[in-house]
Amino acid sequence: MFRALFHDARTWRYVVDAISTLVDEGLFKATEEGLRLRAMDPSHVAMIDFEMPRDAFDEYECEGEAKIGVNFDEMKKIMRRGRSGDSLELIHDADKKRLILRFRGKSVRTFSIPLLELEEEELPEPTIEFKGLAIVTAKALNEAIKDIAITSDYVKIQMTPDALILTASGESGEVKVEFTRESEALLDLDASEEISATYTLSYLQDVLKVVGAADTVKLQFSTNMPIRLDFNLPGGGRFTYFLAPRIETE
Amino acid sequence: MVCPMDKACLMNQLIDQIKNCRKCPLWKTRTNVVIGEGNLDTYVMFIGEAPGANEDREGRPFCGAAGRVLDQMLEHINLKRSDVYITNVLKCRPPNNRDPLPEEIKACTPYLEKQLEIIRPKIICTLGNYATTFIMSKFGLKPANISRVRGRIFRINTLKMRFILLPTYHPATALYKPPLREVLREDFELLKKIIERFT
Repeated sequence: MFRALFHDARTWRYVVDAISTLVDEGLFKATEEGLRLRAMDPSHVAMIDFEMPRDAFDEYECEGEAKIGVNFDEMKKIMRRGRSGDSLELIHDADKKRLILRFRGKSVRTFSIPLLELEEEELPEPTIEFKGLAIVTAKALNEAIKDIAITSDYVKIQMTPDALILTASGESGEVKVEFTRESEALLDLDASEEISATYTLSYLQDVLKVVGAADTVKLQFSTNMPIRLDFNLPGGGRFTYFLAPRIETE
Repeated sequence: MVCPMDKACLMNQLIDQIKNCRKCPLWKTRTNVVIGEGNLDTYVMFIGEAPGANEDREGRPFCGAAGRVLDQMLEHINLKRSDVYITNVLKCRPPNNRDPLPEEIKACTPYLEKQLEIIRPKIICTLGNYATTFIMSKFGLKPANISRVRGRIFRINTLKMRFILLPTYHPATALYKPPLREVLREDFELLKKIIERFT
């Protein structure tokens, strides 16, 4: 049995939007500790690790473990109906094999979608030794990616002891976005050496759909290694994204 | 790393799944599913488009005239079929060798993804336009015509594996455009050099 009430339905809209760009279907696991989902795209280029601890919810009831398999296209359509000021109630109806999604605001609106019987996939967290870390405001990163998208399908991310730099070049020109230690949007920077890697922009654009729910994002990577992005969510929630570096051609 | 015994076990499970697959209408017209064959511990995986009439009849990939060209190319670089793994994007023959439909691709490609996960090749050699476009799109590359990307080396990184993609012409091309046999031979020579880097 699982039932939870979250104060801001819009947070879930952004989270589900971002997940739906990566996978069609996925399995939420509800336990006494909270709600969790881990999913990898079929190409294994990106992975999401989402966690909303029980304390992030206004009300939370879970006996044992509930596995909630959903189709994200269906869930996304419903979540987009969440209005400002709505809270969201999630109920796992195991008997009827449905997930109930209820918006509580100026009215009470109840939706339900069928539960999918999905096999639980074993997805260990990638083990990567990160050589650099930066924390920036989520909005600033989103704007930077929008700037990069004007010229290229790829972004080169560099970190030096003094700055986080995003660059791209394409047929239409070049673009460079710098976050120095003086930049308001750069909240932390820790890189002992210069590191850089290039990533496919479309994956970053997709995951940045979660920006509406997050204030800051922590970037960690090493040269030519996967990047890890941690978006902090209200109430101690976490949306972590791993992305493999882009392809090179010889 | 998946150990050889586990690989065989995982592949056998997958074979059972594919043999019973009815996720798209192609099961109604197939004679046999054509899953793939070769060495599960290989560095090199070849991916073609879909089974043809011979393959459908035999249940083996590349067993017709195009298959003989593939064998000759492998022999040219001192390889045998048992040294590599050969499969197709689709596991069932589309009637009259028509192009696969999007719903057939959607239903079938999880099997190829699973094969990749089990074998974890260091090198993928796509045979022909269709397989090349599929693999390039899947891993975030902009697809281009085979004549533009053949013989080029693409390094692909995912969170689970890294591999080299080497697209080349479909062996059948050498049958109806004999001058391309030499181009195919060049690409296989490049493949040999790449393999030597790993061994």
